[in-house]
Amino acid sequence: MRRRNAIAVSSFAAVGTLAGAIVVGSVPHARVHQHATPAEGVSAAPVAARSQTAQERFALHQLDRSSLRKRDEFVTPDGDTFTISEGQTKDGAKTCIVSIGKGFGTSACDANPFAHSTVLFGESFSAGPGGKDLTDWELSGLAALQVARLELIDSAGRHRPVHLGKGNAFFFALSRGEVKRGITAQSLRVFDGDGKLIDTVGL
Amino acid sequence: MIRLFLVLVVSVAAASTFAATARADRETTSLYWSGVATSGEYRVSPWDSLCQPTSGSAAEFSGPGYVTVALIDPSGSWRRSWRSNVHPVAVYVEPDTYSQAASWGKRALCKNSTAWQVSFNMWCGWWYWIQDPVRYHCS
Repeated sequence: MRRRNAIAVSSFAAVGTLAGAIVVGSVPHARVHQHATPAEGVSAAPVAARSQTAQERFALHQLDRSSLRKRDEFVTPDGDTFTISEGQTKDGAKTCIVSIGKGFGTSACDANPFAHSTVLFGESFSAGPGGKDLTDWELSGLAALQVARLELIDSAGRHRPVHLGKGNAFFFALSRGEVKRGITAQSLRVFDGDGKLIDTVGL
Repeated sequence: MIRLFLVLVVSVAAASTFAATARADRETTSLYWSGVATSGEYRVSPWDSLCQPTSGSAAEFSGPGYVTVALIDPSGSWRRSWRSNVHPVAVYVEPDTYSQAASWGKRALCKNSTAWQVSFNMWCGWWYWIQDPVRYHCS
């Protein structure tokens, strides 16, 4: 399957950024089909994967929303409540961080969440056209078991504590006032139980 | 009179229950773009409509880096966005129902939002609701 992915990569390189849409059923937005292979997950079942379309693989790789297990709940400085949960992809191959708040759900998934990093996380935000002029910003995540404390370094150089809650779910939100003043998050520092810095993640 | 009222209440309740169970709207996904994306490059889906309201935006990618997915409203604002270095990444309306998805017009966006220069394969998809039975016909 790695070879198959390599072939797909070569194809992409050859055709540049050719747009492609793979459409099923009654969806009326059919466009050029490009033979693309979603990056991961297919290696777990190579024979079955060969008979699947890219569309089907993409669907299988998505979050199974019936799998959510709530870890903790957090409130932003502006009073919005966010629920952090753990979930699985439909094919069961990946673990997901799921953050629900302000009328939206968000998720990010990894096959081995804490193999290469101590945190599985995502940044949510709302913004104006072009993704500029942010109006809010939050960081949601799940931390590895050895993580005891997290802090966020903001653009003013301040070290801000990140709320590490039940099930090692963590959450941080800049206030709308801070976002309006142009304060941004720069990095996330991760500490173990001995207070030792074990990871720094650029944001 | 009381009996008549009770009969009416029971009838309305039964009709409502039937109507609710008769609706079998379902949600599905579709890829709207795939290809190589360099840092800063993005793609958007077509605008949705009441006949098939978009409920989510999702992406997968092949390389190390960050991808942002967003739901954009008719003013161009990124109503809700989500950025991560692992995938799939997804943002969806909550509660995720046909009514919620149809309550505002939107399109899905996916973007290679890596801070450093990098190119990788990106597969961008959207979630949308299919009506059953059809109330709003697609043009």
